[in-house]
Amino acid sequence: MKSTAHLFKPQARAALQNPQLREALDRAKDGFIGKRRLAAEAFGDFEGLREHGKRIKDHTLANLDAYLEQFEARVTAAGGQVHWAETSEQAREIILGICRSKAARRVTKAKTMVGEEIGINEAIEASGMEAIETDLGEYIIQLAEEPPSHIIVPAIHKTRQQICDLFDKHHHKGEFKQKLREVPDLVNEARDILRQQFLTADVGITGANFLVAETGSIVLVTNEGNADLTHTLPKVHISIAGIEKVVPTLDDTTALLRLLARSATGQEMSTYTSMVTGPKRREDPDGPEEFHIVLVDNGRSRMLGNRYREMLRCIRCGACMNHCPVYSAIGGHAYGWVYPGPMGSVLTPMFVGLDKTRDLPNACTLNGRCESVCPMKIPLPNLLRELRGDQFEQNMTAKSVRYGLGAWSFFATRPRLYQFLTRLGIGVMGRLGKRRGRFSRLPMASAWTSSRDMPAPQGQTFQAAWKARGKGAAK
Amino acid sequence: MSDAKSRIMQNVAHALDRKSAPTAGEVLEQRQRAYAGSATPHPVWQASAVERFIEKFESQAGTWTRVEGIEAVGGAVADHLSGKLIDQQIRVAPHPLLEKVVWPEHLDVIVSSERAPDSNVAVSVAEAGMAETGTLVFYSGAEIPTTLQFLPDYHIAILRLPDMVSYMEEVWQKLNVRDDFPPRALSFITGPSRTADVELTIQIGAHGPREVHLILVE
Repeated sequence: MKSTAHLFKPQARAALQNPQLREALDRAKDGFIGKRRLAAEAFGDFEGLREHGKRIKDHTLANLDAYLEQFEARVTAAGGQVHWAETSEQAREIILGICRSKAARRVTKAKTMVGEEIGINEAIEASGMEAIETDLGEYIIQLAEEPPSHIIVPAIHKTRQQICDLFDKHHHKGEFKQKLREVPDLVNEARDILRQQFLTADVGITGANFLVAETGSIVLVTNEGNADLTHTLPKVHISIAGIEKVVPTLDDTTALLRLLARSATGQEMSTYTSMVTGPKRREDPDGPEEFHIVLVDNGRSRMLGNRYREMLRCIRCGACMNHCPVYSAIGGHAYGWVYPGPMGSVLTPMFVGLDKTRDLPNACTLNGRCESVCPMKIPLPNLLRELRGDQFEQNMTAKSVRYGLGAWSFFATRPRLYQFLTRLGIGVMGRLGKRRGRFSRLPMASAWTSSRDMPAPQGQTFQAAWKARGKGAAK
Repeated sequence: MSDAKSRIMQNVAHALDRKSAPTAGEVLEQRQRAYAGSATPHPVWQASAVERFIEKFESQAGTWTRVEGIEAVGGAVADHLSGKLIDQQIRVAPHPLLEKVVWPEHLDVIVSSERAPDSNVAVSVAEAGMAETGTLVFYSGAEIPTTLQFLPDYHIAILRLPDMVSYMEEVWQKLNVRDDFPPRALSFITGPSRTADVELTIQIGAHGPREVHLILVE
């Protein structure tokens, strides 16, 4: 997928003025946060579970080579084929090659974020085959020709009216003209249409939530059951996964599954969790004749060696974006690429390049909610701060910010001058604002005062107040 | 080794600051030290495993009944389907447990392992029930075709009471002693298929069954 992350600011501005998007985002904000909290509380030692999950992933990443080798050996022993792709392009070529060798015409897909990352749908369509998304949300945005705006609920930005219009256009040639339809009606219509696609597909493509090194299995988590129909019905099953998805054992997978559903949707367990190992066995009545797994690096091994390694613990639950005030205000599309919200603001610069994603690390208030709910305890605000540091070092920071920081550091490294000037400034502002207690206009601070008042200081600097307090306490 | 693989592995080893991967023994020892010595935190509850299972299963829109012995399963299936509009044959998994079932004559039953997209009722057997989350576990193979759990509108699952366990860890312990473990597909199913993709409204019956009904056999 092509990135538009360099257009973050205009995209965010447009999002803020889109009433339908606001309606959809408000709805989302209310649901996710409460449900996750209840699920975490009901669990009991959720903190202990998070710590355990973090240790599993840290250990796995520190031994990634050993676990990848083990995984490959087990998949091969189960009759599956493992493919390795350094780049998106290689991954696409491998997948297209498999599809072509089977003379495939129709490919069903269950939601895969790494599939979005490598742009597999476009590649399949461009080579004359049909790629059909089967997760309802992905199906809706495929009809709308849009990228996902959330990693768990891809069509979260669409209202029911918009979905009705899309279905009318694509399923009824625009002639249905019924006004607003109910949710069950829409779900049933998509179910009937997609059922035919499932039954006639030549190849099924899924992602993988986890790769189990111990058994050579992939684990797929859905609520709809679409991943299961995708891996069971066609002649060929291809799974795509980032190399960081590997987990040592089934017991470790259990720990991560306990974290995943609770953090993502507040469920204790998603409706379907399936562990798939190789192709159809001789005695099996169903299942694919071939099983392929494409392991994608695409920059991950580089992250493993730099200070962003912790980001590779991410299990793609979406809790960080559900709790992010910036995401809640602008939605996922403004971020301009596959991964939105806090995790996306770290990942996108890694995959797309820091120079093309300048605004992302700065589109954050550093409030820390994302880190506090992250099931893998990824220090997202810290990583974003690191990225800002990288930007500064690589001369990517805007001139106004550089001068501002330069001026501040001049005074901050001269404490007496700093104290004198702040005392002066605070004193003047305190006197000027004494009557109203706030300013509705200030020179050079219109960015603040155009949307809210600036409270007037009380007339004393913090340092002076602290000193006075210390004297008082000493008495 | 493919070129791509060797380059990725080189990059990984370089990132980890070493020449080659550690041995399996070294990795195991590290894992033991890092976390495997302590048990994975899990939910705790007061009630029995069956009570916990039922509470969780019902909360995910599962329905259930309890019968004394396997012979009574036929009657329980008929009871559950009475009043429902069933116009196709009922597909029954060719599982040895179901051989003793006496099917009522008015039910049009076919025992078959073939893929059955035209059947809107399927009867299958769960290898385990997981009380932790009210989840049924299905083990694919000649006796339990995977399609039976995903294609029909009504999925009726049979579970023997002794196959009820508390935690997922116990599911692994129970099943990994089998010669053919892991099967091609091991499916953990918690209630009927659902989606929340339209305005976050939960809607039952997305792509899989619209109903999951459990017959618990004592």
